[in-house]
Amino acid sequence: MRHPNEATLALQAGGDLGTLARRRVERHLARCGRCREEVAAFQAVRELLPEMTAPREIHWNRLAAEMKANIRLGLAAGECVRPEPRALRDTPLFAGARAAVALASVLVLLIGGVVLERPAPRAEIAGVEGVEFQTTATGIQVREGGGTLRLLHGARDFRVQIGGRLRDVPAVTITPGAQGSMGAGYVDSETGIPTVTNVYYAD
Amino acid sequence: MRIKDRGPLIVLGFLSAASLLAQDIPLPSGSIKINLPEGSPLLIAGTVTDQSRATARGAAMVIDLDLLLQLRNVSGRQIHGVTLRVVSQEVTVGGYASVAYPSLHVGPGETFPARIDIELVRPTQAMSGSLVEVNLDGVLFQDLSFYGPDRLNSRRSMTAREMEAQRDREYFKRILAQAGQEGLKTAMLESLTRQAERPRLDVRVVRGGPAVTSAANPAAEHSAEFAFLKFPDSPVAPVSGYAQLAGNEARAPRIEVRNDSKEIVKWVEIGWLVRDQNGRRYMAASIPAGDPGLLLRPGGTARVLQDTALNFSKDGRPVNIQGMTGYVSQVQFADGRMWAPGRADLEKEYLLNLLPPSNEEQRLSDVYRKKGINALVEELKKY
Amino acid sequence: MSDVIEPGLEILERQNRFVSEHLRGIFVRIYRIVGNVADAQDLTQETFIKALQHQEQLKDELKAAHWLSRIATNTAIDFLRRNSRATFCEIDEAPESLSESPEQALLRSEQREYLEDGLRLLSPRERAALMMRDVEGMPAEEVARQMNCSKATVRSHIANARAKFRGYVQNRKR
Repeated sequence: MRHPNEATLALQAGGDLGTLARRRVERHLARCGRCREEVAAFQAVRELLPEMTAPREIHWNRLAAEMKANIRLGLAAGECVRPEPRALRDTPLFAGARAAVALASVLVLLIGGVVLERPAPRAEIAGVEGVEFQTTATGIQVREGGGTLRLLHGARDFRVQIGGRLRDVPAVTITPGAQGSMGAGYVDSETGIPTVTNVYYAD
Repeated sequence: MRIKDRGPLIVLGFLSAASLLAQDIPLPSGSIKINLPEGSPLLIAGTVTDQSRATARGAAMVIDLDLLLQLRNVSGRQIHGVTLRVVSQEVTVGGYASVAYPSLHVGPGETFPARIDIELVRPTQAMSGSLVEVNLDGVLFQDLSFYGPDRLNSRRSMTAREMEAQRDREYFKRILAQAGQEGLKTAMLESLTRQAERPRLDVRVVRGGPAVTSAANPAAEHSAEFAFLKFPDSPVAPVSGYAQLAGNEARAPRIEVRNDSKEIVKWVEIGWLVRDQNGRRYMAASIPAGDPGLLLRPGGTARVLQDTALNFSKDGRPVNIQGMTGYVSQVQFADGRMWAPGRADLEKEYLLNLLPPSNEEQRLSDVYRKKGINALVEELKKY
Repeated sequence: MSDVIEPGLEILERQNRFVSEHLRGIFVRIYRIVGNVADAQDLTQETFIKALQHQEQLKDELKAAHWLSRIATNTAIDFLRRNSRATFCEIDEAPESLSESPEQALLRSEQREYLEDGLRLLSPRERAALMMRDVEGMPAEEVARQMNCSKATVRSHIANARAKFRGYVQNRKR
């Protein structure tokens, strides 16, 4: 007896199959206990999910007032207002006010690169340090002339329980190349295919 | 299937809208061009391009690419690696990148999903042609033969990764054969623990500018010598090596190597480890042979030089470097064959805990983590 | 004379009403995708600012709500794609409900952590699709519109998400 694949059973549990497919699966389920159990398992898991409503531990009124005020400020100033960067996050790039500042210098460089017949060697541009690649916890940043671009970001880190301890495992491994490149290797979370992305200096 | 390049018109219309709104806009499908040449072993079986976006700010455009290409193997042979070259512009940094899929196993007629997920930048004045072009740089087959222009040396890098992949796959298969599922599970947990505990530093690679040290107590720059790890069967031996050290910065590595084999060597890569004040070692970078025309005769020596500076920090604080170690990580012979240290060699020199896992080990531990031991056993039995 | 309402005030009124009406819904949607309050707050603010900068879009109430929702979903997904971290310390504010015992509160936060860990296995889009379909009960066509992709793609995300999440629950049981 041929059984429907896992994806089909997962969709059946949520009523997400098209009419024809659903009828076919239902006919199979009528005579297959194993698949019925599978579908039941998926349904049980679906029922766990509504736990993910908004956390009850927040003071909603206070939060709402703060957000409304920030939105008002942001609209008035024509930029996105963010609270102080929290320790655990990378500096957001190209966001609101920071964008204007960061971009101004990238802009100079890029315009310079286009106006000249050929790009000036970077070291010759007055006041500009060399091009930099920087690893970060979430990927690779490039800094050129004071502006910063985020080029690559890796897959999400994950936690595993080993011997009773929770461990953080990086999902992306970054390999700097001393000739001026950086590579990020990870397993793509949607396709499951190992992927290695490399960025290079332009020459 | 080709995506027609409606070039400049699309770009113009798109740009004025973009400048007005200054907000993320989906890329029109005509702005991404995918080039697979006649006779290519791969054909496009489908694409999803509507998830990509661009943000135009002033005279620059940041292209947030998120493409999914379904590529079909029409070559009649097993494909084990594919590398794509993704280009928006080649004038300034951040304009192009390579995306490689090593550890593939795509049989004749099969398709695989190739995702491209990167940001590229482009000056908006550079308006000729499509916004983004995806080109095929190389395809590696099961027998290690190769197809493609190889502008990014993808043949060499994919071959090296394929060797690593086979090495690690065989390793886990052996464990399954000798110690069964329980043994495999233990090995997987060890792999995940190693991945979790691997010492990591943040590295900044600077090229083309004066190296500015940001160490808390900048020491005078001094020339430091590399210590070397040697593998008994390595075709190339490191002879001597130096770099300039100052606080948390290491600059201008130069390493001399000797060809101890009987064949001509055309590429050498040195793995570079650094040691901090507590004696802890970290993988820093890889140093490739600088000279593209390198042809090292048996017994001959050559120098590997790089004019870059590496800057080390951890959690935002500089990490001062006390010592450096090098080892030969890859060798390529003139006929294209490659050598790399075996797993036992790496284990013996305590390198396994410092190096990132191979793509195949990453993939297998991913299967184990997400789908369990039975799925992993099935996966190992496939080939 | 004093009966005339200045155009500026009218727009302000309309904007405030728009925000008040949709704030909670948008916040919850974003929170479900990104999984923590701090980021959800930032992204909610960003969403409204983006939306309110285009007055023309807001004229039709129904369309405006829909459009706002799409911006929120995509802003959250893009954020996740670009800013994934393994550990975010969620510092919960003091519980509003005093009728709950400390044990109950702990149990609930453990349960949430357990679910959150499972959801981390999903890609940003898989997570968004799962939240909209299985938590908000949105029909698949609507999810597809929110995420600007085809229904087939949505189905694929949902199937993968359910399979991964279920795999996680089973593995944790062992």
